[in-house]
Amino acid sequence: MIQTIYIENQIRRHHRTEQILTKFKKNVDIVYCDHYGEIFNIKSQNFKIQKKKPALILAKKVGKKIHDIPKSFSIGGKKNYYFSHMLNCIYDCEYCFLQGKHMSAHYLLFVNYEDFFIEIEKKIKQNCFEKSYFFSGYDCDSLAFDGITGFIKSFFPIFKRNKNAILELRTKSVQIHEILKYKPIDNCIVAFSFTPDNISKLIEHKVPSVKKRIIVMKKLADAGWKLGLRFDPIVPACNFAKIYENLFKNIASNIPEKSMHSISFGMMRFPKKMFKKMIKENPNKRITSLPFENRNGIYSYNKKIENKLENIITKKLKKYMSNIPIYNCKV
Amino acid sequence: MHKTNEINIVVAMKREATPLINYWDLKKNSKKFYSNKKKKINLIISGIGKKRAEKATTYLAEKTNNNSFFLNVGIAGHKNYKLGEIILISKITDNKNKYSWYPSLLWKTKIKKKPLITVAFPKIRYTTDHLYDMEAAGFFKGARNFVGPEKVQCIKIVSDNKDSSILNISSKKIGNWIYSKTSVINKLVNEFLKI
Repeated sequence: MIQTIYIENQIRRHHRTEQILTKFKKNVDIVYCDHYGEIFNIKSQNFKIQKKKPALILAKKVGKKIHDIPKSFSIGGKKNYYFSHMLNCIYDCEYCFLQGKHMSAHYLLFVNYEDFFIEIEKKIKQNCFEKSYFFSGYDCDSLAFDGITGFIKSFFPIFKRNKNAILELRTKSVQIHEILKYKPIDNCIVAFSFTPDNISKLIEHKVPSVKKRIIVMKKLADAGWKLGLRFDPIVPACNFAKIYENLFKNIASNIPEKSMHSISFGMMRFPKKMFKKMIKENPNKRITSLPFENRNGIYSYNKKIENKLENIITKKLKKYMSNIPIYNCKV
Repeated sequence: MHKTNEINIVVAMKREATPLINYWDLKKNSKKFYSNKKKKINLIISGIGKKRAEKATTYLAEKTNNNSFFLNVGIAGHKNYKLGEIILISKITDNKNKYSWYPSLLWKTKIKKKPLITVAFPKIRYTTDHLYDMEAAGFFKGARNFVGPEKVQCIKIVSDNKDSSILNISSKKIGNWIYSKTSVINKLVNEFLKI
């Protein structure tokens, strides 16, 4: 429950700011600031304490809004970009890199979506001879906060009219009612992230259960939406092959292959600085016991374990979902 | 009171401090420094003005453990608020250089939250919807050198407004206003120390 909203003075009269404020009760505290950095970028903040009661910060995004993604993280395209209309997430996954990425756990929402649209359409125009892929779930879960942000009704129309672009909406949320208001848009992929049920229960705090996520995937599939499966990160655990096999089997028995656009998976990986910060702030979390090693500045599992896990995942995925393209997101 | 954390309270004047000293049974350590080791409360009387507040806060911070919580309690003016009303400060701006601090608002409380401007001289005309005081910016500058925004808070009691200027303030009134809010302040202090 958000109790405090910080608003940059320059967008206090922005139509989206006013729209967002109508979604909160009157007893929410509003504090105006000159720049979101005064709150969000302050050093010595305690991420863990803030995560218990994050505030919402409404701001204007200036500068570059669309960023390149390494080719190895693609889902079939050559031109891959991500954009972040929001930073930080309502969920609390112990492996999430966001806890080491920003100084603050507050939700930072950039309300000037129209400036994002301009840059997205500019990129699409630049790449007119090939498809451009846009990923929206890098710094937040776009769907989980949709009730406040209005992400779906704002961004989907951009892709509906630009068929030469693909939008991946990556989520763990089950709030699909806004999506279901639309007829399926072929170039909008709703991609669900999973870890096996027992792992999810242990380390993905506040995240809807695997069962609930599969139910909403089925609803979207029945409605004709293209879906994605994301197993990123892959988490080593007891009975690894068995629990991942059960997850794949469960999904495959509920979701028809024709509804699937792609599958991707990847190992846990963190830049050194982020990894150190995460460990410092969460010394007792389970992921600290995983076999990480520094590989050229990136902390990930050692090569031997990585190869072993990759082989198991690929083999099991092919067993249950043989006709769906599989992408391994490697550093 | 929480068992492990310590709270450092900075108050400008003796007449503001007395009700708190009595409520928490603080013992005098030196002329301006009081504490109750069992309750883990330290209180310092800084004197009026942001420079004095900063100096006193730094003194307390250096004297106490590095996990301490910092609280500024005092009087402030506001255009419309009733005399004696208690406010939790949501933003502190130094009127001289316009720098602002934003204490994290993580607490379960129905107390009104408002921004405050620290001025060098007492305010007679209230031009904005902010509270006005003379210490909070110095206190924040001092405390934030030692701890994050979750551990620095400021509580003000309204002492003057557009119908009752600073000229009507008396020592007795200040004592009474703070005294009437001591249990509310104590409740908030307990909330602060839960983090």
